[in-house]
Amino acid sequence: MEFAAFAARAEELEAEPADLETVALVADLFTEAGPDLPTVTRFLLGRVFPAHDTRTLDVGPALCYEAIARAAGPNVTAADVETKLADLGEIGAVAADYDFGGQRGLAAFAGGGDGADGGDEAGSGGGGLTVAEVDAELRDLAAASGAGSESTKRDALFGLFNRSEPAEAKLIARLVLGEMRLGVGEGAVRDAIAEAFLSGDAEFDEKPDGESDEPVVHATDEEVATVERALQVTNDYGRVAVLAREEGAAGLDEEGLEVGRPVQAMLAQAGTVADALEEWDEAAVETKFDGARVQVHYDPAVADGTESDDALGPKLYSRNMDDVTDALPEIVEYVAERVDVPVILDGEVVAVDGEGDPLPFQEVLRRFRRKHDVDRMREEVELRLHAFDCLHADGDDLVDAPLRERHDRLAALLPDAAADVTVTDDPDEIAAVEAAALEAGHEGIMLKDPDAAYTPGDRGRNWLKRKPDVETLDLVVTGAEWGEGRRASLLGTFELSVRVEGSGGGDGGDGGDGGDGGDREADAYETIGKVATGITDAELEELSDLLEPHVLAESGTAVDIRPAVVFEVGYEEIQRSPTYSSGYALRFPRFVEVRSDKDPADADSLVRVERLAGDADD
Amino acid sequence: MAAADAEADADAGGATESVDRMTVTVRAEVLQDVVDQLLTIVDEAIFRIGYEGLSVAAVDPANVGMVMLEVEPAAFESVGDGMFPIGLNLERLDDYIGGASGADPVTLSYRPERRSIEIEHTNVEVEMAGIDPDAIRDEPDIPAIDPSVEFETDAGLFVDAVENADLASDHVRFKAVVDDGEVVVIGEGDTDEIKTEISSEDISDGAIKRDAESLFSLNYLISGGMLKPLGSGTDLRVEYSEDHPVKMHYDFADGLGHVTMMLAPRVGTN
Repeated sequence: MEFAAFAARAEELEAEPADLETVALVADLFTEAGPDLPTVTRFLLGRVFPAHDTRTLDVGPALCYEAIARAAGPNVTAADVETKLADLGEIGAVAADYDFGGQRGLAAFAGGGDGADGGDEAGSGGGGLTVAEVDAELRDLAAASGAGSESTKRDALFGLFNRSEPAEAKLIARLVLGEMRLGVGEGAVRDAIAEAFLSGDAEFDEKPDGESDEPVVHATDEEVATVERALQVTNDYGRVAVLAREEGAAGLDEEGLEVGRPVQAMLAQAGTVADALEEWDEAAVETKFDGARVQVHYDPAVADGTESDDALGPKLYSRNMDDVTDALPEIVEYVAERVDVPVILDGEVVAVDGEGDPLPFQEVLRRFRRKHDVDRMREEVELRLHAFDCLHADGDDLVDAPLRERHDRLAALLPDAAADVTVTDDPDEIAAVEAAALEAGHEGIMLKDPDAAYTPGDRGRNWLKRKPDVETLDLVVTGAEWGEGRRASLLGTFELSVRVEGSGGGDGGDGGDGGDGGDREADAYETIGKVATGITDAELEELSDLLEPHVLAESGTAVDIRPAVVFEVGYEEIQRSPTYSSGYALRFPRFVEVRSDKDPADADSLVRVERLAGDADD
Repeated sequence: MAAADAEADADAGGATESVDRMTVTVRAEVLQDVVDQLLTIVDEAIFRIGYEGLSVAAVDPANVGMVMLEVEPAAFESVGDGMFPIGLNLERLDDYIGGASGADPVTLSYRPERRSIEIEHTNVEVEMAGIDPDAIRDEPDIPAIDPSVEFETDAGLFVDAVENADLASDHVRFKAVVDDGEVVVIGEGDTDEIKTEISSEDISDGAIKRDAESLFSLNYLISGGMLKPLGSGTDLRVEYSEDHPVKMHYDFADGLGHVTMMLAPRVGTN
């Protein structure tokens, strides 16, 4: 597929406000994508690699601006690009606004071609890019490593811009920065896969009077659910789209979990004991650990006492599916020593002191993504695995099994590490479990529906997290101000925003889905306050270094920041307020820490704030 | 000068590609010159080494700049009886040969069964894994054309002229008019313009056959770009035509090594 054709479809999608029409347009695109279907599917979601793949492009805004500047023409600088960005608001519009292609590629002169005339030869300015070529270039770019990798990435990206027309350049810029802004979220892609390949009739229906071209999406709830389930277990939209096309629902039904291919973690909402006991007959009560979420994948592949070539892991993946295996060797050893069948486990890694009592969350972070000095830090910070779910055991996928059964399998596999579960309908018993958890130094309790399946990536009502008192929120930094006096070179007074689920996309607002991980409905962000207290000078320096690469625009001392960094912020009360766009403000906000284990998509939502403020409808 | 031959042969890949283990020995300074020139545009390249000497061609990730390089067998202390191809990471190779200098012999032994080379020099032995040649970008085959302008001058003078352009711009324009008999190297900034003349007195050989001017990105030429290895005392031959790639040729290793650099122009900006 020509990349220009894909870019034209993307323009249509961006201009389309209606959900059903969007699904129909995406379904139409999928049916025409041919061999590029998996790539097209991923590109729509701002991805080059499947969500379970730990590779990333690792292209920051600064590098992208430099590549655009080079392609834009003589004497255009990255600073000029940033100035244009401040005017136009988003990088795709900036890339589309320049006239790329003046720089010829050598290939334009190969084989006697007259590159000065432009034309369609690969490597000439303008024209000729295919979806497959863009994918291959971006994969090469992701593979660049070592001292010269930044230069290699800049050159490769420059080469891509150089060959692109405005609509293509817009998509490339957005793709490398993970900000597609097409108004196409995971739900739309899921529905479109069902519509394109499972539904009997993907054509538009005309109303009887023939006056309306309102699209009708034919895919049934059952067909959509089939796609959804396959997405949950494969974590790969491209693969699912191809399977749906090639093998239909039967092929999708056969898909299962694969040890070594992480799936999205099942998530919890905030909730009360009353909520739990109202909604379920009984609640499964577990300790809520103040640690870092891990997914354990291990296939010992031992037959007759000999390890086979199929052996894998143990591999450990973070909540964002980053591979954190090397940073946590004792967890790897713990699992390898005790488990002798293939497993996928969900759990939490917690730092403990010499007595085994839990230490604060930031102690885990000292270990979690560490690449150097792992052995030394292993001596300093002791870790413990608390496993609380079992998605796969010895050939059996368990995601559709009830929690009770999954926990039984877990307890049989890892009796010492399996979290204790109390299943009860007695509020007093729940209170006793909570008191014991807090007494032991843990964060609180989780309430789970003991009969519910494991739904990867779903923040449903089957898991509720109950904290003793809501004191902190995880909020996204969307702005800041340069300091004064001795703090003039530091960012401070950070503007905080809550996440508004699935309401962003092509609104041109300050929404964004963060890096290469745009596999959610596009979120938007609404401001809820500013935090300037609780931060030392040393922390300000660290925060400035952390946030500066994400600066979108500056005006005076005010700075707009791309949603990328999550702060945990303490407060005393949530009040309604006309000052901030969320409609709420925090009383006495104070900085607690950077939640480097969370993406903006994991930050607290406006719905949660409404609930905490007592304004929720439910 | 044999640079044109190097250019023509760059894609030929040698006669017989060896599948047997074989060894060549070359002076450290020759190998270092090869690596230094390649590192100006790429970080990995496919070498073909053996009884025909060494040849390598590499194009940058944006397909804008290319380096083709050939070392004659006479520059080697010893060559095997075949040719072996191997893709190598240049930064690592640079590190591994960094301890050798001048006339120190560097021995390269090809291990086809492991797709690696053993590097031996001074008191160092390294086994270096090769890169899958398919993973390395193919260079385009650029046909030779009769250039409108070709001239030979001192490389130091040419580099100075190009660096002058950098004072005002991030691109350089080469302009030659038949009647003037000189080449003007121009840097045009948004506000300033700087011109450096390479007069007929500075040109040892060549001809301006047709008026021609072309614009090139300085990113590829200076500040670590393709001209980095060049200095005064080296003869540099430059060929270009209106809105066509510029080619620059020079020799090293006592005339036994030949380099051709090629850079595509920016067009439509006057």
